[in-house]
Amino acid sequence: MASVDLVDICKKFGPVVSVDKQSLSVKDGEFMVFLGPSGCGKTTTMRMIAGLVEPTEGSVLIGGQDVTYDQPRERDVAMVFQNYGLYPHMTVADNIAYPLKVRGVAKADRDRQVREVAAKVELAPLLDRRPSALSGGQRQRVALARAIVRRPKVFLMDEPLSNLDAQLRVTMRAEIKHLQNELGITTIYVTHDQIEALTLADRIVVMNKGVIQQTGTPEEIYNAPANLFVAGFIGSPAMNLIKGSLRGGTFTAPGLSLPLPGRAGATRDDVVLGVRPEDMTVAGEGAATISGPIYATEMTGDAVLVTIAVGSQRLCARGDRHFRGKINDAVALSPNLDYVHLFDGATGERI
Amino acid sequence: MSDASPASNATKARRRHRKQMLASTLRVLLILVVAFLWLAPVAWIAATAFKAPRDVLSLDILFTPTLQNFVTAFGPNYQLGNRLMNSTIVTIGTLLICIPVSTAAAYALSRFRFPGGMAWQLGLLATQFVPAVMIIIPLYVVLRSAGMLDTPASLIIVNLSVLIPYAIWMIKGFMDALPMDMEEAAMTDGATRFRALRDVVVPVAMPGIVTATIFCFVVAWNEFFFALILSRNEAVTLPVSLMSARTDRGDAWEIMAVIGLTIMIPMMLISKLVQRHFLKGLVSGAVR
Repeated sequence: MASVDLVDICKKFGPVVSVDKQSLSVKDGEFMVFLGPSGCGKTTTMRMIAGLVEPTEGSVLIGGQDVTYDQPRERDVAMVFQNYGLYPHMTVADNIAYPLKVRGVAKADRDRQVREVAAKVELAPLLDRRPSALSGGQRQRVALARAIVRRPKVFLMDEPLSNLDAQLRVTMRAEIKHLQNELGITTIYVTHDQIEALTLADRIVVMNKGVIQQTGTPEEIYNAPANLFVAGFIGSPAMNLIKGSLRGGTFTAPGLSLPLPGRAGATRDDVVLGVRPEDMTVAGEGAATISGPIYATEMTGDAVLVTIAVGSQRLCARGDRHFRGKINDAVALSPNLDYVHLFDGATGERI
Repeated sequence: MSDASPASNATKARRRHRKQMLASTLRVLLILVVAFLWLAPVAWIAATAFKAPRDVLSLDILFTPTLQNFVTAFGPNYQLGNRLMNSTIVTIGTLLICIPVSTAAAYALSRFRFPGGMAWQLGLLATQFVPAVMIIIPLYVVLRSAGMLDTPASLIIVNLSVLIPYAIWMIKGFMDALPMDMEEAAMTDGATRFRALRDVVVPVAMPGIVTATIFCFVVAWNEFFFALILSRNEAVTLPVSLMSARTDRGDAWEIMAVIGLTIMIPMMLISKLVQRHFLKGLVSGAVR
């Protein structure tokens, strides 16, 4: 177990800047998730920690020791790959035993450890099979077992669940969380799936275009997004973002006017108001401050997503699952004003 | 079609059936002709090897088989045993160096970036566009200066110069298609890059390596031109020894047939043997 520190880390591929001088600390035993869209630099950052990519600038410290130019095998990290990276010509047992074998662990010892780990991830009956004879979920377990068999200082997981079907993903997510908690090993997990990030992480790093946008607990990221990118990226359906201005503590935009508590007298041009669909309720017409005709309704099972047209904007609210409205019916949305967010329209930063 | 009478339907079916019969008969005939064209020369050589010299040019199917030709071929005049040994040494020597070197080079070209990029790989291939006749003179001069003429080593070196570029390209094509995940997994698991190559990349790339090995074996075993120029007495290989059957007293066809058979049999046996491994390799690589 160890902490991981990135100091001014930068990676360029020719003229393309993949990771732009970022610093980050992952605490000992922490479950840290790197979250961001494709190409945001999260996987490159993880590969620099693994030693599979050499940084252009900056340094990587594991357990306080500078490992920037160490080979992957010298770092004592274990990695679970997106495509599992299993050895197709070896049996499950040999796959799991490989990290021990290259370290010269005696065969009897190796066999015992493989059996222990296989029992932990429920692979015991499959030890003699080849990876080609396993299902996606089983292959994922083999990859996990191979990573935990030697108790590394740091686990690295690169979108390990992205090849699994939705149901299996939920099951495996819980297993990974349980396993990490049990072993207490520092874990860095890369994903573009915000649900995975929010459910698994002790802390999340949101990245975009090679730059860390925000680092914080899932609650902090969700409840107080640092900028417009984080606000728009986290949450499904996405946060409603409305361009307008602040006049004497009241947010105004074409077709709506909202007095904001705690902003009395504040005046500012070019601001963006953010409000999550789940922080708005659907009310009868005239009952609330945002009203307009229904643009679309979507039944999701546990709720009905109601989209209304306000001026040229479309605003979405998460309504009661029994709500039944027709397109063009006039309704009003009532935002919970304690949970609205304001951002600077020019810089995108939270105000 | 509902207005068609049952009688006309039956006629149509008969006509279709006749057409199918004709097509399949033609197909079988064509296959037989092609098979005959392929197999007849082989059968002719095999038969000639067992014919007495006086029967060689007769087209009789029935003849009294004799082993005398083999005795003569392996005797002091033709030294077929020695030629067979030379061919074996040259071919095995070539393969033992060519395949590991090409595998390592293919891996390097497949996985690393070099200053100059693709130029190295294309250059490697371009050397193979130079006709053998063009390079034989400088090769002859160099090998003569090194005192290596008429040695198996000289033939191994020349074979390598031809085969390594081809083998690199064949194996590289295969390695390019292998995902990097596996070897990266091996390296994070604690293996050096060389160990990852040995433990993971080579076993998975085995079908490609075996394909390249068969190709190199066939070329090295049948190589005639370089061996003809660079060998005289000591290092003569099987294909060159065919020439020795053209004597002042005429062509000894029966001896040529014995030599031809000696060239063909190991190739047939080895392709049969390797085929099994080749298929096994294909299946074991089939993951993901």
